[in-house]
Amino acid sequence: MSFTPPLLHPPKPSPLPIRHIAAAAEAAMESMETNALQVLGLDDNMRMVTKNVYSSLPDPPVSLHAPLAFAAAAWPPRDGVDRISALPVDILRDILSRLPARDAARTSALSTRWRRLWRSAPLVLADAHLKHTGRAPGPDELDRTGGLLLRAMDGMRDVARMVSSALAAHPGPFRSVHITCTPMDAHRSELALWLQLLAARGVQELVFVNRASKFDTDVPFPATLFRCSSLTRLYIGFLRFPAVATVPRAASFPHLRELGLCSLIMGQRELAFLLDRCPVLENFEIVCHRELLRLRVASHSLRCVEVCMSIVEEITVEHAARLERLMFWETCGTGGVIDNVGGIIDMRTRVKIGHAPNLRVLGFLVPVMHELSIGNTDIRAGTKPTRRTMVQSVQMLGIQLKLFDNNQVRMLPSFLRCFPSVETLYIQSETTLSGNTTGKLNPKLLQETSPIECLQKHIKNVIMREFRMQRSELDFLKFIAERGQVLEKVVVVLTHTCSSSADRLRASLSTFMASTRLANEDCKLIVYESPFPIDATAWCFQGAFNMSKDPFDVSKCFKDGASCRAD
Amino acid sequence: MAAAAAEATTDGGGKMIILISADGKRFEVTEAVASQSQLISNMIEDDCTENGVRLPNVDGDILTMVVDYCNMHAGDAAAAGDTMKASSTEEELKKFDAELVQALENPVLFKLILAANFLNIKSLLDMTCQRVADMMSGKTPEQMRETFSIENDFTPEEEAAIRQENAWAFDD
Repeated sequence: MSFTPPLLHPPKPSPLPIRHIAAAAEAAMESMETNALQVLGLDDNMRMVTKNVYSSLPDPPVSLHAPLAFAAAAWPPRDGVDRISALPVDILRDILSRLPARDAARTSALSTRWRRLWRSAPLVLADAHLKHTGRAPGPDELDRTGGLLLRAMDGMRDVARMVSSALAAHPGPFRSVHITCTPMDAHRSELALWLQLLAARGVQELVFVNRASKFDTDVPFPATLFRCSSLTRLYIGFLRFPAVATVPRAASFPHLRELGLCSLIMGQRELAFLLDRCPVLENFEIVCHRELLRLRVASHSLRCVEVCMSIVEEITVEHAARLERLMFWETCGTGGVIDNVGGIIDMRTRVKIGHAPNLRVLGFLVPVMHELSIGNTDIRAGTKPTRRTMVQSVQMLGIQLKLFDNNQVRMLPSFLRCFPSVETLYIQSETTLSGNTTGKLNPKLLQETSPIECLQKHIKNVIMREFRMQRSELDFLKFIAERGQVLEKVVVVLTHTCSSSADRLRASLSTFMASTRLANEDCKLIVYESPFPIDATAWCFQGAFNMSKDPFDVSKCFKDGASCRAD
Repeated sequence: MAAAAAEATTDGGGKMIILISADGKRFEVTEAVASQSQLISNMIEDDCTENGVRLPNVDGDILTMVVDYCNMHAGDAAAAGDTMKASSTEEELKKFDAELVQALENPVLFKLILAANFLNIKSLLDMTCQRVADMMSGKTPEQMRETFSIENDFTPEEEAAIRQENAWAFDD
């Protein structure tokens, strides 16, 4: 199967099929118990993009699933006293804001006391909740996948008319509006009306994803967006971003703290214009961008930047005093060819790190494909480490590579030397499509030059993901364990396909480690099986915005997506 | 708690404060515990807790629950610096909260909401309001009225007009 990169207007020369991405997503999709996206007739590429976009979205603040609702049994015999209506108005409004919009609006028919309450409580609306007509889903139906599917489709009926009515009926403020399962192609006039209402009623949180079924969908998002100046959180998807020329120069989002751009047709000029008008933006993600991406980070407020599944020419951090996390995954460069075993070669993305004194988390860097520069120095194999080629603040580093690929391995020491304070190192072990990975790791490539400071003095945790028990992986483990003087923990995450033989692999890994001369004798080996089918998930988009959590640790968030973000 | 009250101070908790319920029950708690109430926290700041804090609209049995809740959650802030400790108590807290909210029955639930509102304890107010919202979720107006003993004081015409006005919310 082949994958067409998510570009509407491919740059020249045009990128070649990124087959391994497609393969990964394919496996992930197949694992879903209900392959409901297929029901919609989405083609394979679109399914994958859809999955990525929807899994990057925040959940609505209100859920159909009522976790504390086991009420009937616990509710005592009624004494006929109406205590709820006696609560102060502010509390009743608070309660209404915790209900799906339809349930909240229905309370206007309870009694005169309730009649005007809904209209005076901040609106919380999700079109997915309007679609849902049957019983509320049980807790076991709302795991990460289920939640995603629910957001993406949840029944087939068209609720555009209901959304129009709800938005028109409520005078505002709109606390949170999630429109994620309405095909906007068929509702362009509603789109214009909704944006007018959203702007007029001071929407604070807006998640607006066109429920597209085709890759070439092209629905222009009205420039009215720029009148929603009260926004604090904004996610938009499968839309054409308004051209700079149509937007007033003075427009800005003075309160916007979180921004997600998902599968948008949006030029570099538009992206730069938008980022320039978000003076307090802290969290930013860009997923499946449909045009060639050149991202320049110059911000006093940004703390976390996530880039995923996009064709990226360049990511440049110019000056970002508060930036703590710079994360990218499946960001392929431009140009390139596919070699005879299905690997991509010569697709290059420039990653430039300038002034980022608080950058703590960086990854996943792909040696060779990602051309790293620090300050004004390009990092190559054998680049001599100096203060100017180091980012001292980075504590957690992710590197994705094929450990049997000499060209990539040769870059590894140079990369590690750029980040001398790293304490936690994630290695995403890659394979090729053909599975021909019998090569050894050549330890000489790692030892050629001077010692690696972070490895000898700082690295406490090494996590190897997608471990397949290959010779090169074992060689690397040995290399690390023999040198890491403060190494406390080596975590090996077995790839999903190995899980049937997990016990055997666990035993032989233990034997292997026992035969290794550990630099730190107290170092522990932990082996577990990946909860994911294949390396389709590098991190949890929403979880990464929680600055107190390890963003690459996804071991706990394959169920109940909502909790990933929670404190 | 009675044992702890004998001490003028406890480890890390600082000064003790006496809370007095509507029916005259006295509760001795640390400043850290009491400060989860924004109301009491302000009073501590203004130095007017010397002779005990009278809470004329909170009954003793409700205040018992509030004090238990605050005792349980007082560790939160203290443990925040130590992530390992915080994560181990996180589970216990979740369990405690779940059990508390499950046990809430009709009159007590609403009294607790009013107490949390008066004392201004945001997390407790959030949890109890969520409990009420969950009981309303997915119900028709008739079912809501029945659950909460709400009297329908509309004429049939009035009610029909309201349903018409918000037809989108009423048709299935």
